[in-house]
Amino acid sequence: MIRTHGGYTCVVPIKDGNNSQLRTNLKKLQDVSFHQTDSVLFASAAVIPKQNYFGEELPASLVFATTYCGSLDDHLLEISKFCYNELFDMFIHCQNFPGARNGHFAEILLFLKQHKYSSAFWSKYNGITKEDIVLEKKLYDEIQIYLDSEQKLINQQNIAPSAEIIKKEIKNHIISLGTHNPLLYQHYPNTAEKIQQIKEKIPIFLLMGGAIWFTVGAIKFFVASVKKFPKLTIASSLIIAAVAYMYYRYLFYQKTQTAKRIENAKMRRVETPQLHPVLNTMIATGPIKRGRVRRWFYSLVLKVVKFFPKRFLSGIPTINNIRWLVSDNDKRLIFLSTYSNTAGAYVRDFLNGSIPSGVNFMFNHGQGFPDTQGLYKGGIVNDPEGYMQAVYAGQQVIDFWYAHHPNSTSDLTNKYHQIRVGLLKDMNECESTKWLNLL
Amino acid sequence: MLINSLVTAAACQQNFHYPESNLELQDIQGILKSGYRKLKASSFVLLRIVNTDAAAKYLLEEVIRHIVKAGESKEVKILSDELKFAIHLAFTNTGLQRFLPEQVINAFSRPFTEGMVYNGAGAMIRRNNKTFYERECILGDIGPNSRSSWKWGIGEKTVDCMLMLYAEDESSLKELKAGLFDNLKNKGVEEIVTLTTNTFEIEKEHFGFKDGISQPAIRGFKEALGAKDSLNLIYPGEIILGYKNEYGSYAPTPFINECENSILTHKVPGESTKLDLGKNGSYLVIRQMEQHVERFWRYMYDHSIEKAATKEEAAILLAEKMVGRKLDGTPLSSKNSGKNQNEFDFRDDTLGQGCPFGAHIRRVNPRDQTHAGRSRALSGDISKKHRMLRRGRIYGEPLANNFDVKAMIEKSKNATIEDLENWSGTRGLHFLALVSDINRNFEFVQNAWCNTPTFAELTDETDPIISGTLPFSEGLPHFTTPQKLIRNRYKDVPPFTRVVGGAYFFLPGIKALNYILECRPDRGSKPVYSCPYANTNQHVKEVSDYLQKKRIEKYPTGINERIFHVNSIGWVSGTLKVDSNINVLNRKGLFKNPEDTYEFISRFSTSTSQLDGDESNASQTEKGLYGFAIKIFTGREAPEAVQDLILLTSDIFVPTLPKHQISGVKVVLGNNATRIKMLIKIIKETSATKGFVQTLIEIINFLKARKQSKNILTESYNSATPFLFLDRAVKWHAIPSKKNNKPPQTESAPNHLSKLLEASLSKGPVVFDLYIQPQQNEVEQPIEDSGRKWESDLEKVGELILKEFKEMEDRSVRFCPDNCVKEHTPLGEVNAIRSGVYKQMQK
Repeated sequence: MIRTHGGYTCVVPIKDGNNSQLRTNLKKLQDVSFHQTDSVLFASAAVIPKQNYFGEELPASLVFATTYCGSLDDHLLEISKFCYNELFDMFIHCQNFPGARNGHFAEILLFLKQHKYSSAFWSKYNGITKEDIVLEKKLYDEIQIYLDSEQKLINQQNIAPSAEIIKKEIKNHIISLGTHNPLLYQHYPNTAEKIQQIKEKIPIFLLMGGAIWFTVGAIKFFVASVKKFPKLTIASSLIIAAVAYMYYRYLFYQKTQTAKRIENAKMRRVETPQLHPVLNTMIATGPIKRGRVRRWFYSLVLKVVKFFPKRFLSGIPTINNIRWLVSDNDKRLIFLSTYSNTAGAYVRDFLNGSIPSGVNFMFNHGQGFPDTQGLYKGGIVNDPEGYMQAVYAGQQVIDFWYAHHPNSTSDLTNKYHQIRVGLLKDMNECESTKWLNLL
Repeated sequence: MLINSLVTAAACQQNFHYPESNLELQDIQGILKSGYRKLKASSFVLLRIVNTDAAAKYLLEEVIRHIVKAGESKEVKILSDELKFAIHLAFTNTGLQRFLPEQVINAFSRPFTEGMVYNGAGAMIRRNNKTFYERECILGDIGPNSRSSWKWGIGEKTVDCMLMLYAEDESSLKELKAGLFDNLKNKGVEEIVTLTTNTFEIEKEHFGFKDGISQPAIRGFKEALGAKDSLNLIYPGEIILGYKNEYGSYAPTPFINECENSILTHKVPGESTKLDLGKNGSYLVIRQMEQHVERFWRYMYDHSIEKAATKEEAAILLAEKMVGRKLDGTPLSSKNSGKNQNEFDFRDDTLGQGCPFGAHIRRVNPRDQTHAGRSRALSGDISKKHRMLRRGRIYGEPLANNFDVKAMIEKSKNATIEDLENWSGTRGLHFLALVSDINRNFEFVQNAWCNTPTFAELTDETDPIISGTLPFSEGLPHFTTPQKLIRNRYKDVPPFTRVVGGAYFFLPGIKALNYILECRPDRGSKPVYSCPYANTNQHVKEVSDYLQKKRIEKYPTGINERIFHVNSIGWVSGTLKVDSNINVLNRKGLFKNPEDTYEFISRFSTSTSQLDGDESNASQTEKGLYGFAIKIFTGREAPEAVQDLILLTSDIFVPTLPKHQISGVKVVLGNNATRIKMLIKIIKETSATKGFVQTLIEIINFLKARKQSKNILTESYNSATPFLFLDRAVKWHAIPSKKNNKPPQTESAPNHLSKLLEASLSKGPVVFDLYIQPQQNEVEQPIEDSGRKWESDLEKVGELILKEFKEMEDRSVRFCPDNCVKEHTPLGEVNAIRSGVYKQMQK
């Protein structure tokens, strides 16, 4: 079984005048069907309104996003079958959807594939399946119950037993229960997953190979040209470099309007649904800043970031999963994330430490975002409140949200996982003590 | 008077100068600098403003001058022989609404603008088949902290402002109160509740722990100069508005548009036309927390399994683990502790075996506690972005003399089950915190750190001291004390504290305080409506001047005549009865109590293009808009003695934009050439602003509203412009009741509407149902565009029972949207212009 997490996103224009009906349908959706699937960790849907891109109207669209475990094909097949009615109720209000409710999941599957958007996605507990999450939490609870019964006895003993012995006792107890035997769980990473991981890396290897090939070719060409036409080559290279630099300055140093504070009522509409006690989800959308090259560049950035998600997208403890994508011919930026705590606290987390330069890099192309100097300087560092307003201004009401484990943060899920993995391992006294400290 | 003599003595003292400081100490209220430990007696008097003018006068003349400034507050500590008291003043959102227009109120941060207990549109959440409100969820005001048990801060006990009084001893405090609150009724304020505090030599809270240790040191104050502890040294902008904060930026601040003669001089950073109303001010959070001391110590005694020689010691050890400090205030992570009990970090306690991860002091200020791969330095920096300056004081007698913990344990052992289960309400803490950003500094800590069950990767735990509940769960939280090998876990820890009142206040700087109280829109010496909108004053002047010109042309004798709606159809007296089944959420202002009744006088009128004014010749045969103006006698003191509702038969108010009010007047009163010119101008500019389609819709709606009535009592009326309904924007609607007999109708004839009105009422009362139409969506139902018809549902609030027809015009009765009680004030610039013009014309 493949355990890799992925993010599927589809963005579909809504039929004229169907926004409110679609919203009503989304609010009525039950999450039972999603819960029955093996692959869906999170699913969300939101209606994004018409937005203006320098006089051009970007249509009102439905954004439907899932975070899944396994291969994308299996995931789409699964939700097409299990969540047929839910997806039908959503897509019936979207343009180009074939229509009649006939129970043929193939239509839904095709529609999902046709409207798929690639995103720069990262999940903080990649490799942990839905089943793992349930079983590992059960395992944790069993260990806690066992320790509750034992802690008084241990406290009363004058000589403390060793950590190794306690750990073994816990392991024996869990095995004796039978139902929660962690030894029965599948080990991983398994072969299928390894193959999947390699398959995922193939495009980046190709890209890197292509880049190296191009660079070497360009250097060779340059050296040959210098030998043949030294003055012309150097002069034209300097001119090209100067023009490129000036264009870079023009494009990435331009002054734009930072978002203003939005009305309290809109803030309430957006923030109130994001008040689950542990996990929440948000979606923010907005047109990209002016410039075809900028759009092209940003789209390329997201394609590259996709292959190095951890390097670019980790570092914020409240993240559960996160994704960026561009839609509408690269004119609209869409940001989706599942996170812990409230929206305000989460958005503010991006302002801490060395992360702001990365956030500038990822966000600064959206309209309303504070201007950066170049690609990553300034921006939210110079105007943190402007950045907060920009995110608030772009946030949309989440009309439907399913979370498989809404009461566990990514760090907690990882901790439960560490406990299970550790329980199976042979450990010395020092390692056992560390493991016991996780409990 | 004691106050005057003491103030004079204080004023004579030379101010301390801090060359290092950029802080404007003479504009900052002293409570931001000092907690007045030497002024042991204190009271927080929570007031409601019942008469705005009188209250402003009182606060300006008798209170403001006594407020201790930060430049003086050092003397309060050192020179307590001379200065034996301190006073501070803060306002809630409802308090500021009395003095400032809505637009300025909306410039404050959202938590303040909405208040701690906001339950208006869009704030409702459904979880587990129960209804919660946004702030309840954020603050954890559920379960034992539920607002249903609050003693103040909600409903009838909503607070407008707070006077914080500090004195050397109880007798001085009493004298201070006597001086300040003498004949309070005539001063426009009434006391809602006084939060008394206790005067103890020992700085302990009721569980017996030393309190008030963890305070940030604010750069710029002299006290911070010696601070070496980087974890506690913060930039002033974290607490005081208008200064740079830990982000190197400024917290969002309230502002007014730049206007002449303003005493406010600082501009909002980065804004060229906005004056900073928040400069040198701060937000003040107050929460009254009741402490259940018997339950606390009984739980510790019964449940502690910490290793100790005796059961009492084990109980104390568990209590210390929950707090994170020893009884004397020494932090449990004491390896790094300096001489100052506030100078420590968690670098040597990364496993929580000293101070547990769930302990109160870790949750409210995690300091350098590392998390998710973040470095200690970064964690410390993050913690500094969520600091509060605490100024709380305890109330009630301690359970045992001198907070003797062993005696408390003894008493709790003897407590009955009833004692342990019930809240006595006798002792607790008035938690006061000063912050520059309520959301970031207070609500974040309360929500993300104290109430989150997964804080520091814990499971189902919340702050054992101040939370006491798991969000959206019937279950109780746990508490874990990590040990060397196996943790001790305490399951189902009951709540030891509960919140019984609270509010968000704004503690203005001295200049801002003067501005708020002096520059109110209706104060004659200041420009009318100069501040909420940049051009209102100009619009008012243009319209008033033109109307005055027309009036003088028509009435050279100077008779005080109407210019609009000159033609009365008739005057009717009656009674407003609050609906007996009025929705609980609508029980506000005049509609607080079902079946309350108010007398009113009303005037039906019709618009006309003729500046006539002679009722005997009034034309009732033309198509027109009909008006139904109601003056409700509220029984309150002036200026809230009446509530005017000016209703029309049109759903929209035209001209819809503020800048077109003068053009609109000229369309009605000008000659034909002017009319056409102005009409074209209005249509052209409205199209440019709102688009041609919307303009067309407005024109059609307006034309549809013009009609020939067959009986004025069968028409439906509405306010067309929005009004406040305490915390919501609404439009008023008066619709003929279905209970009415079918009124007679006649064809158009001179004065037929007057005759019908009289005839209808002669057969008995006629009832209009009074509805409010709440705003549900600010985009589709904007305040500032009176051309948009609202589509939301109507909610019935009362009945207007029309009883007696009065034929004669009472020329002394004038209607104005601004004649209102504080809960139902007019909203939007169009209303502001109308009010300004009406007032000018009445002069």
